[in-house]
Amino acid sequence: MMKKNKMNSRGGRRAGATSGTEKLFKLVMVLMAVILVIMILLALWRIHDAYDPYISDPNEMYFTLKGNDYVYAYGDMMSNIALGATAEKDSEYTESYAVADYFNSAMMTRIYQRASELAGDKGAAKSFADRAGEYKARMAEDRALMEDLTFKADEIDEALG
Amino acid sequence: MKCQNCGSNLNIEDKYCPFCGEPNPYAKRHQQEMDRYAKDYEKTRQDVLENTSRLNRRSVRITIIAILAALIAIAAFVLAQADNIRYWQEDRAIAAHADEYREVIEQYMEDRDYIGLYYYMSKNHLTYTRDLDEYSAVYDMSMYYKSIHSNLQTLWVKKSFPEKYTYVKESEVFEYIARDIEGLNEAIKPGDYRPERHEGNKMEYMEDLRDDAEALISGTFNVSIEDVRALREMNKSRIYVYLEDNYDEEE
Repeated sequence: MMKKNKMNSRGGRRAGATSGTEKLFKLVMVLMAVILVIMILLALWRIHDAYDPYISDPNEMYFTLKGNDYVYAYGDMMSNIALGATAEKDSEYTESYAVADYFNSAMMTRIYQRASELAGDKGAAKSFADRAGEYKARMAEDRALMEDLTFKADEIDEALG
Repeated sequence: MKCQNCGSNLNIEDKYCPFCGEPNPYAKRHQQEMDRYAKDYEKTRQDVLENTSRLNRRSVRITIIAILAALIAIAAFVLAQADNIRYWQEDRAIAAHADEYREVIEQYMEDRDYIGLYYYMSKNHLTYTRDLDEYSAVYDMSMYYKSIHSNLQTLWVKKSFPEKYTYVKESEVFEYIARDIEGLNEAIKPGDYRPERHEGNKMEYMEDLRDDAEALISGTFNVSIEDVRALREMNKSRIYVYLEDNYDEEE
């Protein structure tokens, strides 16, 4: 089949014919529009969402605790609380938070008990003993909230000695 | 022109002589030429219109490309300034609610909830902002306390659950704790002492925080609180050696 001639009888361009330059124009415009849209979206993302604080959900908390990763669990709990983002799901977090806090309270109880025993300064010794007592009471509160996860409290007590 | 038959006057458009009825041979040719001229005119007109329209389309496209290029340049500038724009927005939002934030921070301070204060300020981007500058030293101290606490937690977890954090060496943890103790001691008596940051309830908070951090070291490393207080005069390296000498892995 013969290729359609883009020129008319007098050397002019036929109506409706598209030159290479016009195609190039269209391509450049489309590319520029795409780049512009990407840049705008990227800028909006960086301004609004890029640094949105991370909130760990109850499932993540559960698996972190299951792996005895108490440093991360405590950090996640404190971070969630600081953001006030967990208020509406408090019940879902309660057990996990109780376990994370239980480890911390158990550790702090032992730390303050030892610090109290070692303190030569009687005032400091009493103050540390009081703190140990506060954390001990907190352990009992946490244990009461653990429900299905109560075995974690026993596990923690056994491990900490 | 004249009729070739009777010689009377004719118009070139007349197909027949109005006087003798003889056909006019020029009229047909004239009509054909006129038709051809009309066709040529129409073709030329079309070409001119098409070329003009193509030129117009091209100018429109060049204008659009120029506008797009300008918009891309503006977008690139905005993108480069995204962090500053965000900080500016955050600063404005903080300034609008500064009193509410102050109230919450003061409550954390009153409760001596050092870790809670650290998370509250850092997660809500309240650190080092102009409107809450008076809490920057309090924040620094809380940050060091939180870091010491986390590192001690790591040691306790390592000791209690030997399968955990096997990739973390005790020596690394001692290094972090030594750095944080030194940080605490420097933050409480800094070179750029400012009354609004360091006096009143803020200094009481910071002193209590340091005492509590020292109690944590005392209970974890089995050294008396009086010994731990001696670390206030030591630098990071000496603190590290002290911690390493006193840590009992087995206990």
